[in-house]
Amino acid sequence: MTLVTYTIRRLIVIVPTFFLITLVIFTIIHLAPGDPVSIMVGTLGAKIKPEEKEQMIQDFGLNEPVHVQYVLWLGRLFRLDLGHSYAYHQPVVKLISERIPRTLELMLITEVISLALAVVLGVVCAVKQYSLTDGVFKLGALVGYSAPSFWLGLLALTVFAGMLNWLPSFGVQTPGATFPTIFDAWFDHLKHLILPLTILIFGWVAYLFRLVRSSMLEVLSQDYITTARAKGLKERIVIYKHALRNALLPVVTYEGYSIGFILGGAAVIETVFSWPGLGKFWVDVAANRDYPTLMALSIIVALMIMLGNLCADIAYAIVDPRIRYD
Amino acid sequence: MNSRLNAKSEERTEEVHKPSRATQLHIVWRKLKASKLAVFGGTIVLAVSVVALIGPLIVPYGPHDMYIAEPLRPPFSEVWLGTDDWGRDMASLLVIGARTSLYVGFGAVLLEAALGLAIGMIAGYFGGLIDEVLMRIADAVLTLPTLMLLIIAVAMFKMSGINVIILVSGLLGWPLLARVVRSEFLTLKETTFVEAARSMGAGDWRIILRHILPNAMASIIVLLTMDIPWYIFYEASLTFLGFGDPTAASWGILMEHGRRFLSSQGWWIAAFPGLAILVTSLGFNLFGDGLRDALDVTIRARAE
Repeated sequence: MTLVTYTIRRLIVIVPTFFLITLVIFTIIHLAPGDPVSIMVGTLGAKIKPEEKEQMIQDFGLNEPVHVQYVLWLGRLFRLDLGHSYAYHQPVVKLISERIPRTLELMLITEVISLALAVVLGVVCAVKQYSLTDGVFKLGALVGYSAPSFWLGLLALTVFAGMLNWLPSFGVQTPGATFPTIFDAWFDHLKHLILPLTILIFGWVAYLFRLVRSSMLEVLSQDYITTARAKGLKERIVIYKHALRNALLPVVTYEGYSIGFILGGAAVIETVFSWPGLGKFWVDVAANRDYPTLMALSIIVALMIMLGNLCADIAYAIVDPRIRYD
Repeated sequence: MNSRLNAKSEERTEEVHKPSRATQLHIVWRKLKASKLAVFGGTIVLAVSVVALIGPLIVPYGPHDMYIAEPLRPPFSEVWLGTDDWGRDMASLLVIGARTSLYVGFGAVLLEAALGLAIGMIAGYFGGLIDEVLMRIADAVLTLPTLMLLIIAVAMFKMSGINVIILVSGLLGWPLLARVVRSEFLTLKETTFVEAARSMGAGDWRIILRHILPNAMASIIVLLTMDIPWYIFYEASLTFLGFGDPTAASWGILMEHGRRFLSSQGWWIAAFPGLAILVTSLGFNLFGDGLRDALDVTIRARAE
């Protein structure tokens, strides 16, 4: 079996994830007290007669049991009808597509830089276990995953945006500013990126570093590493070619399967830095009880999680020489 | 003379061959005490727990006592840790916040333990189709984005915020524990001491509870200890995001409340509760690390 057929098989296994995530969110929304019609009418600022309300409940299918409503929602989804936002009075598709690039930008840069940093630091510390370097980075990682990231974000904002005034405190671009060239606009955007990225990377490196380090230590104690050394191979080759490849296996899985976790962290960090991405939108929409938007957002989140899982499976197959595609 | 020597050596071999539970605990305790970081972590955990248990009973002010002094008095003035912008006593708020945090931490971990133990034990001990089905469910639940679901749940059921947090985190938190318990059970049920117990007529539940579970406890305790900071984070994040009763005392709410004053006249309102979370979760993590080394178990980091 080739990698392509393997990928297709994994894809089939992953599909139920979509229904699970959307169904869970759908159920939470429908178990909640208060009905969507009153909330929608409330946001429109309209007065409504009881029989009109009854009619709307009928029209939206809200009198049906939850599972029937879920199937109805799936039907609308397959007709690509995601509806209108209650709170923003705009098509849901437009609202979401504006925000996807903002979150992808944060997440992709965080993932790539964190992985690179964690692998380098993890390997160095594992090779020199109990050294001063190892101790310093272990302590740093411990603080990194014990500190609430949004608190670090607040402190960073206070120091670098508030007191020193080096970096902007919110958003993706300075509002009202005009930029003579596109490079000025990029530079301005880059300045907005620095703080949220640094906080996200610090937190994520702290987790990945521990994983790389412990996984590397485990591999280095195995017999085949001793064999490789006994053969007279250079230490560099033993570590980077023989050991690292196997040590990366759990890291790859961890990274791919943690998209939901990273998105949750991004929701908090995006809120701290007023970053107009999916995470902050998730919080705003939940607070507004904007049901159509929330359900549409849950589709995007489910798709991102599925993509992460699939990438992890494929990367695992590529890194692991032992895997048989079945 | 000779016989006395013999008797002594017999005594000694008996000691070596039959380590009682007390000696096992003693070994773990000694290893734990030898690690400075573990002792440090354990001390923090103990201190925060005591503060959370009895602190709220003896603090002078409650979360609704405003204007106990001028608002925004700095720390180490006439008010020990200062006051917030409503003139509430920061020290009292932090102590009551500790109770909220640990209530969520221990509550969610208890629910996780109940679900994870039950599901892991059944899957690992009975195996077969039931194992297959339960582990598929565990894999599925593991892919759910915990914090994002918590945000929705708390936004929808605003009334009973804190118990919703415990319920949802526990309901989503069990799969990793179930996996650990299952793999312990898979290994342990093949051991000779379990076979011996069965040959003597012990039933399934007796074997599970009396023979396998005690031997699996080490991994379970380590995992649960390291999970408590997660639940504390969840509660703080959610209340920080504004999903909470603004007049209640919780470290997350205090941070949300104090963020407006960070760069101006009241840095301590948001800085202290964050520090409290950092110290508390550092305590649990250090203690968990120490326990893992002392109990000699290997457990991977967690991602949900």
